[in-house]
Amino acid sequence: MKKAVLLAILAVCCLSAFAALAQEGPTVWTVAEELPLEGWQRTVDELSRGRRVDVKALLGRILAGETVLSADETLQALLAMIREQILDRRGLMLRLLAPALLCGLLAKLREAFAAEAVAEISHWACYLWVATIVTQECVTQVQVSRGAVDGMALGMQALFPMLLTLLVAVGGTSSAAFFQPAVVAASGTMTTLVRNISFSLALAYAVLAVLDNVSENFSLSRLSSLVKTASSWTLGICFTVFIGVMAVQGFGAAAMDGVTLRTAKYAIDNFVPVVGGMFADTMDTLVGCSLLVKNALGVTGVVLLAGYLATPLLRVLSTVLALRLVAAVLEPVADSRVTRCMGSASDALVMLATTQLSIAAMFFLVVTQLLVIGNMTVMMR
Amino acid sequence: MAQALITLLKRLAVLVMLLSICDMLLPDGAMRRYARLVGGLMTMWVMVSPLLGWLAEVVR
Repeated sequence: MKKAVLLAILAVCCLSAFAALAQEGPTVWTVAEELPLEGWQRTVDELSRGRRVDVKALLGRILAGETVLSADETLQALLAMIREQILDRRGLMLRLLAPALLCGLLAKLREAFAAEAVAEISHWACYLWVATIVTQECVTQVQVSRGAVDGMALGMQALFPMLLTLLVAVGGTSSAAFFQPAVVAASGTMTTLVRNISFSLALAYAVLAVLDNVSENFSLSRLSSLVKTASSWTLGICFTVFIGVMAVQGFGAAAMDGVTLRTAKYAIDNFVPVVGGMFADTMDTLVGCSLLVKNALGVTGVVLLAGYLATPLLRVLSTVLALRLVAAVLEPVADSRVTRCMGSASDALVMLATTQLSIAAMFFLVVTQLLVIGNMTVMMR
Repeated sequence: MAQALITLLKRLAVLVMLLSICDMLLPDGAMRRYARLVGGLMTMWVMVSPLLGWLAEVVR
């Protein structure tokens, strides 16, 4: 009887087997799924002006290791954009050629006029015509550049909170605490400084260059070059201080975080009984996944930043090319004041392009430093 | 600062235009030379006056 009962119990235990599954650990995709990308997507939609870019899909492709844009494709897209922008500037070139040619003709036919003053005044009127077109174009390009800088700042403001959160997730708490004010400085203070000072000085330089060439007897060339110098120095000093502070302080925090993470892992592994090793390994996996997602997020941000900057930058550069081309073509015929005016206006536009590139470089450096700091923190553990 | 720069540029633009017109309309001779001298001094004054105003504020 007892044997029968024992056999029955054994049979029940063997036959009533329950399916048991080992729980999956965190993966790269589970971390990526939990990212709150809606805010960033809204900002990207606002800035992309109709050309929708799916941020989540792009992030997924970068995480999967796919080539988002090959060198060939990038070059072809860039050449197409350059061609489009240059063709767009045809109207400006024609509008400048007509009055400048007339100005040159009037200067050459000065002897034909009854009074010298009549020739001067007619020449002066043509010059003002050219100067008005050039000044209008400079004002438009300043607005385009301001829009570009504001757009970049908005995009980065949407990206940085997620990057900082992931930096904390990989153990970089000190680094994140340091970078929080640095990011505010980059996206807020620096862009405001550059927007209000550099752009204003570039436009002032263009206006002074135009006024300098109104009359040969009243020159403002030294004042305009002083303004140009002030603009370059402002940008250079702000940029240097920002990069210097970030480079020096950022890496110290990463070393501290690496040691902290290693200490935490050791403590969990050795002081938590039974399951300590499992927790430590899970923490390791989670940190590794967060690192991959953080790097992919940073790369996505940089790709979108470059894509956003391309159009306004190429627009300014194509205007520079148009002005210099017209000045070069007209030089044998037109008055030297007209060609100098166009040359100086193109210099002012180069200042705008340099400012846009500097802001983009600053954001690029902040993102790359966040990625590098995270990698260093994980390496140090 | 932006406001001060805008004011300076407006004043310079008006002054340079007026001086150019006067320079064109005046006949050749001593009068033209004196007019250019006075015009140059006025341009200098317009350029320097914001700086003098700022220095006066600092000293105060």
